Amino acid sequence: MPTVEKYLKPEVINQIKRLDLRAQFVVRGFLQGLHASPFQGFSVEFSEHRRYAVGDDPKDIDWLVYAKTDKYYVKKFEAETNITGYLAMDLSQSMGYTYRQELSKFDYAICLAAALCYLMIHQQDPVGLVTFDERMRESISPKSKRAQLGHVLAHLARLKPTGKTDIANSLSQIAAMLRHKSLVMVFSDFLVDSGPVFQALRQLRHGGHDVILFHILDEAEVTFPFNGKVQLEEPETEEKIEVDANDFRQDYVAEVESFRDEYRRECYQTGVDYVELDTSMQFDKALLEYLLSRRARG
Amino acid sequence: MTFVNLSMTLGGLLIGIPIVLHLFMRQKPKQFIFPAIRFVQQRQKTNERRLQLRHWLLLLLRCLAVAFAAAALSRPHVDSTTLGNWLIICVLGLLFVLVALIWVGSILQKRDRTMVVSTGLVGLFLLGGMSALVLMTLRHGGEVAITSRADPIAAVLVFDTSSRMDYIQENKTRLEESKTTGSWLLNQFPADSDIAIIESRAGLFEERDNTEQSTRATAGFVRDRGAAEETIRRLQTTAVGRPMRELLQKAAAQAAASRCERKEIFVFTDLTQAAWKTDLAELSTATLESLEDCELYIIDVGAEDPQNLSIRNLHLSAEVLSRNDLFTIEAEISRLGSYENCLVDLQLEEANLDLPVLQDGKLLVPTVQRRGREVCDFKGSGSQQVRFVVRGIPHGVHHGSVKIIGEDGLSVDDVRHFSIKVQEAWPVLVVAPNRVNTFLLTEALASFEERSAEQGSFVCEEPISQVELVNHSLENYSIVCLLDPRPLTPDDWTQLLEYVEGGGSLAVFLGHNANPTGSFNDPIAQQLLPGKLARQTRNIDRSLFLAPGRLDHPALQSFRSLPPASVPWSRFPILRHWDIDPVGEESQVILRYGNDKPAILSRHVGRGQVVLMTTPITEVHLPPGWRPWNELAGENDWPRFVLVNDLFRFLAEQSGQSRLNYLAGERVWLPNSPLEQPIRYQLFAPQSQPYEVTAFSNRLSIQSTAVIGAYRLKGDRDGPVVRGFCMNLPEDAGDLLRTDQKNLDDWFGLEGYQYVRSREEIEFGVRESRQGQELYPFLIVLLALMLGLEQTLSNRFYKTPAIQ
Repeated sequence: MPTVEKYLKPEVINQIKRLDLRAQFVVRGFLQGLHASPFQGFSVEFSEHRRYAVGDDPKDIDWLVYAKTDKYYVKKFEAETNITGYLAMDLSQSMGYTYRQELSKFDYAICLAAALCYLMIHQQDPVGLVTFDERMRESISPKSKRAQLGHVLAHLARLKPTGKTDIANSLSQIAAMLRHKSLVMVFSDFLVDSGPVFQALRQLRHGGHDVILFHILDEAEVTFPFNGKVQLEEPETEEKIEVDANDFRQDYVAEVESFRDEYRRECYQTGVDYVELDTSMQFDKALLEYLLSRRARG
Repeated sequence: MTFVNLSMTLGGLLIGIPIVLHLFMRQKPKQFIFPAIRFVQQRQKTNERRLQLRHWLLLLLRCLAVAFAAAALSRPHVDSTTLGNWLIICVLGLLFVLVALIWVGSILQKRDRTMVVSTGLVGLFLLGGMSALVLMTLRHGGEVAITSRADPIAAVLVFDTSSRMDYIQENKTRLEESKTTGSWLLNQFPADSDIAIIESRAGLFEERDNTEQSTRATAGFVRDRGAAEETIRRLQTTAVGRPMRELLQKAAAQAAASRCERKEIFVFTDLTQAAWKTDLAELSTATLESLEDCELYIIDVGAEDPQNLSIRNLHLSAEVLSRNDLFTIEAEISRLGSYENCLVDLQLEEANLDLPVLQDGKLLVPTVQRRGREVCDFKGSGSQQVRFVVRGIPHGVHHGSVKIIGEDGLSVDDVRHFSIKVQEAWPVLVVAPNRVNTFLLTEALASFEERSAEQGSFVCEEPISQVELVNHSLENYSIVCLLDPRPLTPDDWTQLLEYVEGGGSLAVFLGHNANPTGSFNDPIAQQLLPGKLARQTRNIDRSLFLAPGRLDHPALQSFRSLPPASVPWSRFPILRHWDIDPVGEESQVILRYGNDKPAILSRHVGRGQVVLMTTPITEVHLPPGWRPWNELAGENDWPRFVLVNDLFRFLAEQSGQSRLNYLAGERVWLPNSPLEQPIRYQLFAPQSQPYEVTAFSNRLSIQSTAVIGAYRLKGDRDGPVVRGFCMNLPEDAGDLLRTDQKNLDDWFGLEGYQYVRSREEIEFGVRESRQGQELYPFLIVLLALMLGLEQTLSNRFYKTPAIQ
């Protein structure tokens, strides 16, 4: 792939070890791909032109428009309204799982979070980071400075998926923590009981927050690519189950789909953006979902 | 039920392999870490049940596949009549398996109780029905329900070895074809089978039945195939073929004597009408019952479109004739096929007292001369008559033959042999009371011209009166004739009885003088005469005549060749005759009157013959006032002339040695006078070394007459004495017309036999009847079905669904 769009592929981005570079490549690849996308004309760098006013930076004058209209316009490429974003990372052990992909669910989430962070900082939106397992562990306050990018990325790079998780409790704590309306982007596999999670999501929405759920599953967890008789062990509970994979695949896929359907339906009713991802998918889907959400709020 | 490889049923134990694999060799699962196990938990139990059901189903199919493979390799056969039952059992079995699977599935999937109970009941019903049908079918199959194909059988091979089997088609005689097929068939029998060979050569059965060999006949099975094959190899055709009815009776008895469960009779035949005569319909009940216990195979080796010429109905004018007689020989040439004409020769040996003689191991016989040749043009008809006339045959015994020139399919019936004896004119002694006319008789037998030229067939010496009889030697006469005799003395009767018993012939013409009848009804006279004299019958209105009915008696030979209406019997009324009542049991009526009373009777007495006529043959109307008994000697009385000559010729031929032509196999009795003929002879039989025969009780008895041809006897008594006779095939020996197969159906029933022509048909028929219907194809189909089902289900159960 001659362009940087190749960096939307997880297996390619995995070859880049530095997280900041990963984020940069992902975003650039994504943005380059947008020109050929159905969203052509939608600019993330500027939303509109406006008449030059005293006090505006002369360097923002669009000289091409001046040449055509003989009037001074400046490019409005900075958001008029700033969105405070929180990247909520699930640190459960199950997030560290991969069967045959280059990136684990956690790596995929980190990479995606970094890209979103890069994108948001680039738009001067303040972005913060929250990590949680059974409860909220760490948080970085949202800032829009460029230094925030390095700070967040450095923190992300240090994260390790360990232990059990309680997403509902963690999301409740996040809801209680947030004082302003924010965009909460949750990166998790949501392999927990869905009821409390939905309760927590409703709590977040009740607080006026926008929520995007990045439901990240491993490609094996979606397609169940095993053959023959297999014994499966749950890493967190160490529970073991023996099944015939060939015979079971169809049922499994139906079960996963049912699970996702449940989230999809609940999120729709709650006004939560739900993004189904698996670790074999390119990053652009997640980024595009973010931008659509961003635009709706803009 | 029989098995080709019974031991292969043990292969069914291999069913244990999939069971062991299923129970103890379970696949070890691969272990994986999998966080999304919560999605598995939801359906894991259902999956596990389904998996178990599939495993059990596959196990069942694999077990069935192994069982069917073992069953197929053991090659089971069932009785054809029970094949339908076995197929129904298979269907019920499959239905049972299906219902059982549904029942197990219902239990595993915890379906509602109604489903479980109903499928269980249906399964039990199917199982019960199947079991009952199996028991019923096995019981129907016989006492021994399960046997091996290798069990020995009792096989009786019946070979028709009659002369017809020499018919050549495709350069092989029918017997050679039978022998080839028979030898092949021997190798098809299971080991240690009882094998018996029966052929149609006559004489074997009587010998065995009458001697200690009868035990061998009933226990005449051999188990040595080599011996049986050698027996078949030595089979030869015979002119003395036993009828098929006897062969089948013998074969049925032979088969019944075996202890083997399975009995098979193979009849090698050309299926001609001559072999399969209608007397087969009279097969005894015991034979038919025995045949029902056997598998009867009619192996047809005959030609479907035979081409053959044959000589039939050979007729000699006389076997013993006088030197001056014309010798006439007639024969019917019959054709079968597309022949249009043929040449027929008459060959006759010259008389030579020095021959036959064995010289350097070679038999020298008198020279054969062709005495006639006829062209037989069929002109579209199936047969033609040929006739030869020979005159001036010299004194002595002559052998000859009528022969078809050329070759056809069956050569043995192309020649007919005959033997004749030519001697001087027959000496006749006429005995008559005084005043009885003898002239009309002697003139009829030998006219003055014939006597003068010494050309008559009879020589009549001067008649003697009745009183001279007792002192007259009768030895030198062939015929003694009593013309209108008066009552004879016991001495006269005794003399005449000795004469007739010694081979002489007596002619008695009753008339006026036979009164009183007491002398003729004496016990000693009745030893000679054909019946008792009862009374006289008168016919005044001249309405009674001689009325020949059947003309098949040899004494009426000449009349046979005349149209019945051409003989004017009505011109010669019978006015009076004696009644013979009762007619002796040993007597035969040659000719009757119009009132159905006997006119001429004959009787065998000892080696001689007596002919009695109940009215005179030489009645004249003189002197005036004489009341004649008949007007046979009237004007233009040629019927009387012919009748007298026929009667005397018949008597002459019956006197002494007369019969010289026999059918093969007949016992030959030749009179032998020790005063005139030697006691010992060398017998030169065809295809045999000469051997000595001796006369006992004034006769020669010869039994070994199975070969057709001329038999020559040579003895010595004051010089060489040559005699002879000949043997011929029966008339139908060359009849190759095929019988209708419907006759076989009538005789044996449609299911009672199998008609086969080729080895393939034999193999098929034997396989069907001996082994029953083979289940191998059905089992292979079931095996393929099981394997295909197992493969399909395995693929379906263990297929890797496309990963989306």
